[in-house]
Amino acid sequence: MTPDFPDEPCDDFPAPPREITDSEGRTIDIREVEDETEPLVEMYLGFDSKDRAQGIPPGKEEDIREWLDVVTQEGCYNIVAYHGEKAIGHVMLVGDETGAYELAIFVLQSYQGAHIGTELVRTILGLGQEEDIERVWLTVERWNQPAVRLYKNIGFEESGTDSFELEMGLRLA
Amino acid sequence: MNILLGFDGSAMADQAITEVIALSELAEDVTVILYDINEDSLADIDARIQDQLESNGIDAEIRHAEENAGAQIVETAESEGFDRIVVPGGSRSPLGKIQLNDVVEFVLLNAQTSVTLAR
Repeated sequence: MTPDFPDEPCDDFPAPPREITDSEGRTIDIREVEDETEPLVEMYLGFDSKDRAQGIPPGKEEDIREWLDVVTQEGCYNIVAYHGEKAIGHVMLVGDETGAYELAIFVLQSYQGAHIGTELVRTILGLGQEEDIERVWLTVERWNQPAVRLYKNIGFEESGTDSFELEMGLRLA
Repeated sequence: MNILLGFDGSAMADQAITEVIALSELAEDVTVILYDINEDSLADIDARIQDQLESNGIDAEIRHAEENAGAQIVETAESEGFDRIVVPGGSRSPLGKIQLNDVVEFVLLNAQTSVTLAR
């Protein structure tokens, strides 16, 4: 299920690593995941089930680990936002069978609404541009208006299907 | 209880079979509708499901859906008096998100009986 993509590529995005100040004045480090996924396991163990999207992240620790193994395997791209040593946000690109990439992002509850999500998405798109990725898509629940707005502001366009979830696509190059 | 099972060959469809087997003590009549399955593997899958259900003491009737599987499942459930529909609860995107397909959506929105989404 890959959506249609806009005809025109979007603007340039910043690549990792970056240090940003969120809208509450916190210093947030944004960098690529190397081998270590333990900080992400910790983050997802503290995740509120109301912020799950279409079944992810899973709730149980072993399922979280299994899922992280899938999204961090060779050929996938993962960026984490850290506040000090603590992982507080995670954005990923996972390739599909057509050469396009699916994007998903999660931000810990107490760090939401501080523009960290927007910067995480922009940063992984910057990494995607460096890696010559051309098409990125995502699905989002229709009622999740804050997320839909975030993606639209970045340049994603709705790709017009009438399924439960809204599909959106963006062209990087 | 009469159960109508939708089967599309996905991983969650296998889960749907397990679900029906778990209900087998309550199940009197089980009918399976196969849909979205490649013509070439249809006969094999038909035989495999028959075996699997039979070895669990369920004597099922297996049918093959034509074009509009969702409508056929809903219609069959209504016209033949099934008490429960069990369908595979979607597929997973490359990064693991659950996606509901057209058939599941149609069944959920239109069925007059309870629907179990197998995961």
